[in-house]
Amino acid sequence: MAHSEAGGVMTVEVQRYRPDVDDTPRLVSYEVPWTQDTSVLDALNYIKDELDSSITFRWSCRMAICGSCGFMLNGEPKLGCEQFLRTYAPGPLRIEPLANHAVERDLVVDLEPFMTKLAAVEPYLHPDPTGTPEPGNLQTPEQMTRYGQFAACINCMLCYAACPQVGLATDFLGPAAITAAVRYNKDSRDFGNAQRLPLLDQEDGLWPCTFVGACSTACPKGVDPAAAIQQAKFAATMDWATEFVMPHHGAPGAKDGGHA
Amino acid sequence: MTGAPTSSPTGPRPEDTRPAPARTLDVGRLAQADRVARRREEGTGAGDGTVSQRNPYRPTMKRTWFLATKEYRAYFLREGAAVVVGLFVLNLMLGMVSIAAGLDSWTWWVDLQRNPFVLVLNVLALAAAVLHTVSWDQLTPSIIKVQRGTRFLADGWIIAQQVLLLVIFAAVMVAWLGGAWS
Ligand code: SF4
Ligand code: FES
Repeated sequence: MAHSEAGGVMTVEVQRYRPDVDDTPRLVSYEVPWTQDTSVLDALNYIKDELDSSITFRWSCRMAICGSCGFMLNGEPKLGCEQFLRTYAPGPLRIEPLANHAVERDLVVDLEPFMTKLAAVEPYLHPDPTGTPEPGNLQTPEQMTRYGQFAACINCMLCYAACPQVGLATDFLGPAAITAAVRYNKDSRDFGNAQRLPLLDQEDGLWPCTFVGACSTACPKGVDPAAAIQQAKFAATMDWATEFVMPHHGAPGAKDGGHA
Repeated sequence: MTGAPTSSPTGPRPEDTRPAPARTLDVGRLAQADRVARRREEGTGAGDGTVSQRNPYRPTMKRTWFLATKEYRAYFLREGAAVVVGLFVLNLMLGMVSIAAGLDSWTWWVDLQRNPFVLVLNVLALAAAVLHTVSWDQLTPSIIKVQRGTRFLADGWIIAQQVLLLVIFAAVMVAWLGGAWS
């Protein structure tokens, strides 16, 4: 790219909100020096270290795996540590907290609604009620492929910030939580399908999704949550149809009558 | 280790006397979300102590949110196109009713089809149908997954299979209707 020797000073506008004094957030501009390898997270840390130590934001791994540093960059949900200032040259770059979330302070949003939605789908292995097979819970590469992509989620909530249905229907279970449910439902070692189905197959579960598809575009890990949701809709519909045709015979937890 | 706090992370930890969380699942609502709301009301959630002062700002969506991004606009177009298709179907049903109602009303309906508004509606409905066909073909591969070993069949195969089914269906319809006419 033409930016190979790029660098300079960029205007970075950060949304600030102090819960004890402000009624509404406001944008504050900072001048940030940058080079080829200055990430957005670096820019925020520069502001905190050199310009205004009161600025508040979350981060940890600075390598796109902890999922802490999601922000809206010029209106798009992105991981701050994965984006570089050079992409936004010559600026200005606008950094705001994740959309569709309550803002606690500056760039920090309230995680609790998401965490409770995630916990609600019981995203862990439910063992075989008839006992663990000998010599243990083995899995073939083929069985792992079935859910592998959905297991790559880092719970960064970018998909929640991208989804208009999350903003319109705040109780919507949402992309990552549904994907977590699908990930375990597709796992050959898991037997929790029947417990998760009632939660997914209800008004605030799967069905607010209208397949806008923005979650999959936003996802930094290639999880494709939109695909997981549509597959879950398909599975829920099949369970309903099975129940309709032969009540209580097609047990929804059955592993192999399952979905594609 | 002078001055270490009594509850230092290396020291013995106080017994957790909180009751274990209930494990029942209220299937009527998102029970967990309710629990959060309740905790909020009681002011017993994280950060509700005296040290921090919580006053979360809740942003609202703009009325024009569907124009904000390319994806939202594409989504809006898909939803809007369904209205056009719906009107087209209404017109078609009107035609069927008018056949049943006799020759006069049938001629009226045929004349109606020459109305510029109806012509425009038909053109728009064709465009909408093409849009829906294309987006359907684009979206199907994320729902239909055919696994072969440790890979999934490429999206192109799923789309090809869709198109093939469409061609077969169209051919059968043409053959059937053609047979009925001759
Ligand atoms: S599905 Fe993707 S965007 Fe959503 S939380 Fe997981 S990693 Fe983030
Ligand atoms: S700091 Fe961990 S994902 Fe960005």
